[in-house]
Amino acid sequence: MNCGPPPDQLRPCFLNLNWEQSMDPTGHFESALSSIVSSPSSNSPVPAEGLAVNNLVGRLASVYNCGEEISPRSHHMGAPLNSPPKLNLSMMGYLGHQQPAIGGLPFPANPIPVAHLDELSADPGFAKRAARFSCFDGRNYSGLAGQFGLPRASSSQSLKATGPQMGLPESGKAIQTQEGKQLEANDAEFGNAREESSVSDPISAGGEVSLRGAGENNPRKRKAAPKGKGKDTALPNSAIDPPKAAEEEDPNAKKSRFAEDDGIDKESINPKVEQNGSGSGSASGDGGAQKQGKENNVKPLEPPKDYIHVRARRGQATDSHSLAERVRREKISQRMKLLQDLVPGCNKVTGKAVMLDEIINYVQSLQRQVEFLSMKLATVNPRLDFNNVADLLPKDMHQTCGPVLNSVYPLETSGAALSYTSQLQQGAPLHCVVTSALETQCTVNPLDPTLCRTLSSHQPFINGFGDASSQMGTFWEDDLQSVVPMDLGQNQEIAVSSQSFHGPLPTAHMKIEL
Amino acid sequence: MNRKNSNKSRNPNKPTLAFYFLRALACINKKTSMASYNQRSGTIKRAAYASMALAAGPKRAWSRAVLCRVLWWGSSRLHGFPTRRRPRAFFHRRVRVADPKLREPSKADVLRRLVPGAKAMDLSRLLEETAHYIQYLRAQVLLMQNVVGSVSD
Repeated sequence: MNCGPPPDQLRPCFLNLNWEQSMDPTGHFESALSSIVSSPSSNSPVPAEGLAVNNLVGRLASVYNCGEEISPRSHHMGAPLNSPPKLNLSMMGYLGHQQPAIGGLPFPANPIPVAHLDELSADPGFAKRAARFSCFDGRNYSGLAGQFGLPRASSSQSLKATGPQMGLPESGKAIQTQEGKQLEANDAEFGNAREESSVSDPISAGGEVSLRGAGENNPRKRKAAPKGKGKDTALPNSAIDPPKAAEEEDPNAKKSRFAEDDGIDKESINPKVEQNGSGSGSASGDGGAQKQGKENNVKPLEPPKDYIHVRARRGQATDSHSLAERVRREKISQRMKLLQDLVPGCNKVTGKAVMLDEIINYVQSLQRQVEFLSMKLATVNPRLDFNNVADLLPKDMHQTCGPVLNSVYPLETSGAALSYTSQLQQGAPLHCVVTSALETQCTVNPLDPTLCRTLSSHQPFINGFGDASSQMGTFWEDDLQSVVPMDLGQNQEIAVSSQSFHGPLPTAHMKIEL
Repeated sequence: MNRKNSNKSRNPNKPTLAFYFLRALACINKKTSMASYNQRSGTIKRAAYASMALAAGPKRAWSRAVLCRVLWWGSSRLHGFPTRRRPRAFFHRRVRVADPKLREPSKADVLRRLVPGAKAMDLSRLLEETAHYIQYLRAQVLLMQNVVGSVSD
């Protein structure tokens, strides 16, 4: 293996940066990243980097108890690099992308320019392992973290045993399907995977959610930091190659809800990251997957598929109960928005309580209006002239009603009524209403099928409607039949408007409508 | 799919509404000229609700409840039948609430009382029914206003 300048030279450069800073996992990674990032852009930092990497890896392993053996090496990089093949740590995408010689750097050092790591290891095995692992990109980091089962600082739940274990085998499985180039695909993939999680189905352990969520933020933050330093990042582009395997793996293997890009701070970091990524991506010309990842990252929600996909927000609990609660709350807020459009003057109202007050007031006012108008109609009713029903048409009704009104259809045959029914669709019911109203004795609750049948016996033109009336029962619950049928001959006020013989008609009409 | 359904049933079919209501008015006009003013207005009100519910169709909980209520009104009132227990079993799911009488009625409860047939619904369903109900109520009010306007002119 080529070793450049003695490791000791560069070691301090790495070590002095945030190395000991934070003990939490994310901070750990961040420190590692920053240390690597800030390494002087020397041409051959390889040995030092390797050392740093090894150290980082060691710390990583120890901290997260990945269960993989990462023996920290302090000397030749080749050895340590080759050591943890099982670790499946995502490696720098561009490493594998650009130089197959770069072996399995078992540790993500994303922002490091390729040049730095190209010479890391000439070990062919390294290359292979590197190829396997997801490229470490700002976005990738999440995937990496996911692979490791590294919890986010905010969601310590992922520290549960299931998390890491699940993350690792799956990632290992999928990643091993492909070698080489697609590290960046993986990289972008993880960016995508979160969004695409909705495509993949349902929900598995919440641990995975936290895993993914955990991974998500860190890379973004870290990527933003290094980017902010104006690093020359050939990296993002390198990451473009990422293994599609990871992509395929995700929908299949990771069936979980993923953390959304949720916090505002995340969002702010995102554009930065995306810009950088896309900029460099376009520069490299490999921006395809990356851009896709970018879009997915920017897009907060995916269109709902068959079932409701929910993402836990950052900093919120991710167990199924709270997720279901979130679904419920989102449904309710959706409906409230609809109601806001319906109720006039509620555009500026925010908050459920005030909104509900407004709705209640509106419904009450509408009901009072109906009552008032009915009283008014009661006074003017005798003056209703049904020969001029056209006048009664509201302005917003179909104009086709007009011409039809002039002709009065005899309703003595059921055929007329049936033809009337068909005309209903054309919006010309009124003349029939008039004539039928005038010619029938409507005294009975029309909704009672038995009633209709008795009616038909009394009134010949209803005969044809016997069938239709029985159909009415199918529409309405049987409970309606329990209403006591009124006598036909009584001149009584009708509880329901004169729909006795018209029962079949609305039925048929409703059938058509429904 | 849910969205499609909601959009379809969203807009009340105004011709249908007018049809039912005017028919009812015609019949009432014919039949009840002798009745007292109050009776007539009550009947017209019931006719309005019934036409609204008929236009809405049986798929909505509130329309079913309204029709049931209207029929009950009519039957008990007109015939002097002993006030029967409103037939609810088909329409209402009984939801056990802890100490319903002790709870202070929240706004949702008030809304549940207002919207017919929404007694046993959870909040999201209640809001949906309310939205639908408001649409039809508004259409009905517009229709009645038009009728009154044209008749009184």
